[in-house]
Amino acid sequence: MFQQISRISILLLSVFALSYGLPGLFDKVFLHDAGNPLLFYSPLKEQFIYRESLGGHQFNYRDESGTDYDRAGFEAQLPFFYYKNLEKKKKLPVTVQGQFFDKKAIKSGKQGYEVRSRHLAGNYPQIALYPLFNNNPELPIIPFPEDVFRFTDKGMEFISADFNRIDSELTASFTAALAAEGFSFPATAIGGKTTNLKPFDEGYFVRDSKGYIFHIKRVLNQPVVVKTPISSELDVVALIISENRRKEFYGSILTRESGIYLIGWNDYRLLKLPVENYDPRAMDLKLLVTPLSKTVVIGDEEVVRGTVFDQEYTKTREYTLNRLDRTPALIRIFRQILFPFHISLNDPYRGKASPRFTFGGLWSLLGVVVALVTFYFVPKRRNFKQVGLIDSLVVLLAGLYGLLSVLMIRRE
Amino acid sequence: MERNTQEKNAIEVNHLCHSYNGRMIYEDLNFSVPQGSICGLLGKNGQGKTTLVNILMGFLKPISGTCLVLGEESHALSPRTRNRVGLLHEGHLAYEFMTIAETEQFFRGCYPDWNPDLFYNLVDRMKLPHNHKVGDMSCGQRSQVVLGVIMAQDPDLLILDDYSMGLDAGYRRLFLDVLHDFNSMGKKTIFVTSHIVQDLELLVDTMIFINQGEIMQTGLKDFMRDFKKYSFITDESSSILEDDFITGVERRGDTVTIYSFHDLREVKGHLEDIGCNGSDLKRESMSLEDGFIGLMGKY
Amino acid sequence: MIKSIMLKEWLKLKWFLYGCLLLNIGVCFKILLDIRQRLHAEHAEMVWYQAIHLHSVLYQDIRFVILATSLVLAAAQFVPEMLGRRMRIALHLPIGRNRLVTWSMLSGLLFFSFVTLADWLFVFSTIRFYFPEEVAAVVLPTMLPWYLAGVVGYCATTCILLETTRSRRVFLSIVFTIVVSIFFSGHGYSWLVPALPLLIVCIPLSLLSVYESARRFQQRGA
Repeated sequence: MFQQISRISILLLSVFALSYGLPGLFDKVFLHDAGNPLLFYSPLKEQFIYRESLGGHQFNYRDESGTDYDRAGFEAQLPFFYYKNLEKKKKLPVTVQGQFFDKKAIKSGKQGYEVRSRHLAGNYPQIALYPLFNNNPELPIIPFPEDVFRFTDKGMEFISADFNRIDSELTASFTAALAAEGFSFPATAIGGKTTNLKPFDEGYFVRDSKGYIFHIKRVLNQPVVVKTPISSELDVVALIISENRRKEFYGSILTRESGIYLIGWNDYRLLKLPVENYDPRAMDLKLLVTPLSKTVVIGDEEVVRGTVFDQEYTKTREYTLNRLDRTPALIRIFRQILFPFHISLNDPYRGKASPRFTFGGLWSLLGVVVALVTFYFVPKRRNFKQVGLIDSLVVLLAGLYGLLSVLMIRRE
Repeated sequence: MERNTQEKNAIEVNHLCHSYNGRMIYEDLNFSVPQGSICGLLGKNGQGKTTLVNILMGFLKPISGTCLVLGEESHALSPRTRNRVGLLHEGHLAYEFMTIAETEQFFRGCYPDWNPDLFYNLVDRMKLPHNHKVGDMSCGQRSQVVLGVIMAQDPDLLILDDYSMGLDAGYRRLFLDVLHDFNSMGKKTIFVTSHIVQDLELLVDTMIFINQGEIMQTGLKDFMRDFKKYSFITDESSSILEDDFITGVERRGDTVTIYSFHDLREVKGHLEDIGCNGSDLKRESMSLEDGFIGLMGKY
Repeated sequence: MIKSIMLKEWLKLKWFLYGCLLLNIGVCFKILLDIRQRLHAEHAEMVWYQAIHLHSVLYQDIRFVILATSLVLAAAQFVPEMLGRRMRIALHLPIGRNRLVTWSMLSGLLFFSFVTLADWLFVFSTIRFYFPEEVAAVVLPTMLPWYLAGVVGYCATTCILLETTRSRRVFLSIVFTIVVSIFFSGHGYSWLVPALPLLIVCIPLSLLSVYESARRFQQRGA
């Protein structure tokens, strides 16, 4: 009995390893890595236009109505994104929808803001220590602070990197400033950009234990704390900060009810982006702002959906692009026949291991039948008892993986 | 009844069948070794002797048939039965990374009836310090340690696989002495193979000859009595072939030596029948090695 | 009996254990010096930033040393048993084969765990000395998969050494290589943690696999 358990263990281990390794190898050799399609709204065509990868640095450029473009034609439809082409050709300023735009107007009216699922708290391992940049108007750059902060049950603690010790002075001043504004420790969500490669610093947006959101900055090494009027009722998933020269919004709040709210500049007024079916935990979102319109593009592994808004965030147009698998159909069928399921750890929407068990498809049934037939008809050899219930079950449930396993680890 | 037979027989092999890489080695092997006897297994190279020893030692599972050692299947001996079986592996396998003392300490913990005096009695004859490494010993010295180990276990059955390999006459004789003493303790069985056939003559009471998957089991005394060596001088160049009557033939110059289970008169008659002049045929004294060659041939 | 088995394994392993321990501590020490040098060469806050937000694992040099340790210890235990068919001695001891295998593996894994524990303590202390406690706290979840890879590697070496046929050896090598590679997948700290409840199943499966190889080894000529 124990020996049987031991053999079954090898079989299971082997099925597990093969179902992880073989499809991975197959995909590396045969599958086209399509990449993410790029979906834009063309103010000239007044419709969506996109670039799809065909694999091997080949692309399809097409618009909603099915018109194909070459690369230059595609870029020409997007003057706000590829204005440098126009600049080179000395075609600036440009007239779009009856309005003139020079380089300055385009640059100042343009913003790209991205919320990637894999960068949301909880979707990747994150050590909750953050640099709080010191705003010094006299300095042309943002120097990296020599400390990091953490939130504890009692306060906002600063740890000096040079000494790996708590900086009591800073800790006391920030904790006091927060307490004075009514911050209730500890923090339950922290959002900020931890890089100094940004035009300016707006510090962090921090949600306290009661749900209130505070805006915390460090100016000339002193705390600047604002208790925002944002409702404490929001079920916040993440706070994503944008530090953009347009200064329209500080960033966004993502909530569990699939909502995304922009935090208005200065007044912290929330503006709910009217985007439907957006699940921040499994989708990426891009907000592309141009001087004439705003486009929200959300996407997952199946579709990419674009919504255009006017300057007041009123929806004007929508388009859904299905992501196509450019792998030849025969190869896809062959993959299904070979692999009844696939175990993987990578998820494009997670920055951490995400175990996934994916069934092959309908053709996999044929694969299992072929594996079973092969199993029963492989020539018998002396010493081997071939057909057993457990082995049959392993082949039935694991197809090719099971077949390889029971043939290599034979019953004796 | 069956239990009784099993108790009387230390080893019992019934309808044993085994093949290796598709080549059949035995189809239906049967024999038994009674308790208290010393049985020697003799066979030329490649006749399945090693395979049989491997099966007996429990390191091969036969395809079919049974091989009972002290009443249990040899490939699945219970620890209790293994405790009663002492094995001497070909080449006097020992843990070379251990010292004498560590070897004793290791095996003492393994065998409940371990007798350290028996171990040291044999090992101390070499006058080596107890911290001497087994790996640094000569083959003969190592064989003493191994012998010490199996004697100190106090087993009921000893299976020795080519104990004489690499040993000089002195060590071989020492082995014989120890094995005799062991056997004389009563109900102790020894199953032994050796390349040095003449040593077995001094030890065994039963012989098993294995040849091309077939065996012949006989008592040593019976064999030495019934199997005979003859010689005669001849100048005829034609050779005498082995047949049912003449088991083995050797020719050295004019002297022809023949082996047979038949008596002088019958052999003479047979020689005449096949047209060979064996008038001066006479019986010679025969060693076990002669008998082995006469029965099994040289190659 | 168990004491005897442990004694035997200890005698085989001790020099290899010392060697592995020396190597592991050496690499840990190198990690310490590297971190120290980096903190001196760059600003400490930048190194912190790399360790916290860029997910640099400053001690990842140790991961393959841990795997190598497990392979060496398994080989140190089982190669001498294979040479000259010495395993026959142990297989004939009055102890069940499975118990024998269990205790032999336990001794090897115990020593391996000891070395890995020393690594973890050293790395943890180094990181704790130079970084905040949060950074030190992820040392364990980051190193745990490397330890588990070592346990799988240990079982793999044992199985492959005990296997009697080449085809099985090759097949098991492929299977175990994939499993070990899974434990090394991903990047940055704590990446594999969400998969550990699934991957941990590989450990009992790998450990149990050895018993079938041991049975085949004994019954196919040892």
